Amino acid sequence: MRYLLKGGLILGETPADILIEDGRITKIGDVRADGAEVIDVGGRFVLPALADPHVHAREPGFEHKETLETVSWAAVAGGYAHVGVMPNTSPPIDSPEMVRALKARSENLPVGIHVVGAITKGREGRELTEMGLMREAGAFAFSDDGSWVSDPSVMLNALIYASHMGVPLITHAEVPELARGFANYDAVGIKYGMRFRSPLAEELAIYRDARMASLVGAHLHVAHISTPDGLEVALSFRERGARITTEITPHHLLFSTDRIPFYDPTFRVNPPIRSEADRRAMVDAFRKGLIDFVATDHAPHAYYEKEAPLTDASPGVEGLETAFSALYTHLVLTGEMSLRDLLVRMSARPADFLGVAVSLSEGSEANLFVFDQDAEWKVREEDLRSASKNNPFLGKVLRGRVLMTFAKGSLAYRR
Amino acid sequence: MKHLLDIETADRDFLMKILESAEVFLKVLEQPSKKLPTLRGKTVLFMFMEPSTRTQSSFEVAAKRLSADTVNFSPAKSSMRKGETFLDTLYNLQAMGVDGIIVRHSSPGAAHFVAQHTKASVINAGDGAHEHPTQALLDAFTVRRHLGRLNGLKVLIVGDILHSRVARSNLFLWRMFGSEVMFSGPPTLLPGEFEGLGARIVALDDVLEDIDVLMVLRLQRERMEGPYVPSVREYRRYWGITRERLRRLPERTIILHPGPVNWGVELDWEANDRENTLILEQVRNGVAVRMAVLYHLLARTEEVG
Ligand SMILES: [Zn+2]
Repeated sequence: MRYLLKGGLILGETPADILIEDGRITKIGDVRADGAEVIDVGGRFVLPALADPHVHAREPGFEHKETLETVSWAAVAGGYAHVGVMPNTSPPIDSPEMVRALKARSENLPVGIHVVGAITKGREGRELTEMGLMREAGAFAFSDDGSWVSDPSVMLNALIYASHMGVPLITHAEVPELARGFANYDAVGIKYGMRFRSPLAEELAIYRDARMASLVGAHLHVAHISTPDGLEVALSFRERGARITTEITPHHLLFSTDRIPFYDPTFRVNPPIRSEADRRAMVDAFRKGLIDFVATDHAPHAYYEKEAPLTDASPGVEGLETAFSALYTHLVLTGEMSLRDLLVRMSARPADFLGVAVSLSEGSEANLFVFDQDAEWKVREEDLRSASKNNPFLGKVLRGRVLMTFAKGSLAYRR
Repeated sequence: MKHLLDIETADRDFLMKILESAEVFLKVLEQPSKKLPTLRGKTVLFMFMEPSTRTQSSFEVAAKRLSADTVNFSPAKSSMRKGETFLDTLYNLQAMGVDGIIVRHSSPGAAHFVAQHTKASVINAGDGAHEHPTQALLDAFTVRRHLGRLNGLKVLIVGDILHSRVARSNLFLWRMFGSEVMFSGPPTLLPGEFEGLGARIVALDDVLEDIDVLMVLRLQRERMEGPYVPSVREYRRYWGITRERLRRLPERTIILHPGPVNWGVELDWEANDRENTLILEQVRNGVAVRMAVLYHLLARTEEVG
C-alpha cells in the first residue's frame, strides 16, 4: 500500500506531505500523489506515534476487563504504536513459556506488544524468575507491579541478577504497611475519614530500591511516581551516578485530591491521587525534564468491579485513549510546556525504554499519528474502544483528537 | 434538600428546620398514642452493611412512629456473599419501590454513592470514618434543649478523633452554628490536619474547667492496645474522663457519648451522678430527630410534586 498524507504539519510546525510505501516513510516534503491513496490532513498535526511501557492488558486471566486485542484497539485510538504489558495477570507472566505465548498472540496485532516479566515467581516476592530465559523469549523488563518486593534480600538479589542480564527492574514503590488504604494522606483525606496510602510509603520504598540499585549498578525504573519527596530521593541517587529512571501517569499530573469528588470510585488508584501541592510540584518536575516519561498505567476494570463504594472498588484507571489529548489540553495549551517536550516524554523516551525507535524521518517504519489539534470533544463511553470504560476523563471536554494512527507500518486506526 | 448525606455541605436552614420539628416529634413521643400517619404508604429501606443495632433501631422506631413501611437488608442474610455487587443489590431493592434509603457502610462516601444511583432520598447513617449526620443533629438537639442555644459554646470532643465520624459531623455542625470545637486525644489518633478544618487541638487538663459540652468518644476495643495506644491504663491517665476529672467540670457542662460506653475506660461511671450527663436522653432525642429527618425528606416529596 502507498499512502500520501497531504498538507499536514510535521511535529505541529512544518507543513509537508508524507509518503508511506510498504510500511515505511519514503518521502517527506512536497510530494505528488503518483497513484498513492491521498489522505488530506491539511493543517493537522502529524506526530511520531506514542509509546507506553506500563499497560495492563489483563491477558491471561482477566479477559473480561481487557485483552491484548482490545488494548491494541485502545492504543491506536490514542496515537500509540508500542505498549509494554504488565505481568500481574492470572497466572502471572513469570516464565519464558508465558512470555513466548504472549509474543506469539500479539504478532498480528496492530501495535507492538512488549512484555514485562515478573521479578518473582507467582509475584509472591520470594523466588526469582528465570530472567535470562525470559529476556531471550522477549521480555524487555521485569516487575512485580501491583505489589512492592517487600523482602529486601529478595530485591537485592533481583537487582544484582537483573543487572547481570542487562534488564531494568520496574518497582511499584509503596511500602505495604503504609499503604493499606485507598486514599492519599492529606488534609482532604483527613476531612473525609479516608483510609490512607501515605506519600511516605512511596518515598521509603524508592529510597530502599534506589540505594540498592546504586550499590549493585542495576537499572531501576520507578513506576507511576507520584510524590515530590519520592522523586527527590530518586534524583539524589541519579546525581550520584545511579541508573534510575522514572515515569508519571496523566492522572497524577492532572488530578489532585481537592479537584475530585471524594467518593468517586473511578479515582481509586494506586498510588493514590495526591494533594494539589504535590501535583503542582510533579508538573514542575515533569516540565523541567526531571521525570523521564509518561506511562498511563492503563488499568481496565469492568463496570461492576469499579462502580462500588471506595472500600470495594478495584484500583486503577484507563489512560491510553485520552492521555495525549488530556496532556495536550492541560499542559501544552496552558503554556506549561511545548508540544515538542511533551512528545519527547510520550514518544521518543518511552520508545527508547521499550527498545524500539519511533521517528518521523525518511526510511523509518511508519509509526505516526494525525492529531486534529483544534477538535473539541467530550469523552463518552461509546467512543472508547477498550473493553472497559473506567476512564477518568469521561464526561470531560478535551482539546485535540487523534484522527488516524499508523503503527508497525500499517494504517491501524482512522476515525 | 433531597438527601441527608453529610453536615459539611448541608444547608444550615434545613438543619435548623430539622431541629425545630424534632421538638414537635419529641412531644408526640411523650403522648400515649405515639403513632402519626405522616408517612403512610411510604417505604423506607435499611441498608446496613455494617452492624449497628442502636442506630438501626433508632431509625426503625422513628420510621414506624411515622407509619412508614420498612424493608430490611442485612448482608448476612443476602446474596452479597455469593458475589452479588453492592450496586446490583441496590438496584434490586429499589426496584421494589422505596422512597427512602438509610445507609450504613464502612466506606467513606457510601451514602453519596447510593444517592448517585437511586431516585430515593438517602440518609447517611454512618459512612466509615467520614460522617454520621443524624448523630450530630441529635447531639445539637440535646444541647439546645438544655442550654437554649447552639452558638457561642465551647465544645470539647475527646478520644479517637481520627476514626470518628461522630467527631467530624459534630465539628462541622458546631462550627456552622458558631461554636468553638476543641479536640483532645492520643496524638496517634488526632492528626494536626484537623486544625485546618477549624478544630483547636488542646490538652485535656488545660480546658476542663471551662467547657459547655464534653463529648466522650468510644475507644474501640481493637484500638485499646497496639499501634495507636499502648494500654487502657495509659489512655485513662491522659485522656480518660475519670472521676477526678469529672469533679473539675463546671456544673453546667453537658456530657454526651454516642454510645455504647466502655464504662471505666473512656468514661467513669460516676458521670451518672451528674445532672447534666445526658447519654440516655440522647437516645430518646435520637428518635425524635430521626423522625424529623424522615419527615422533611420523605413527607414533602408529594407536595413538591
Ligand atoms: Zn503499579
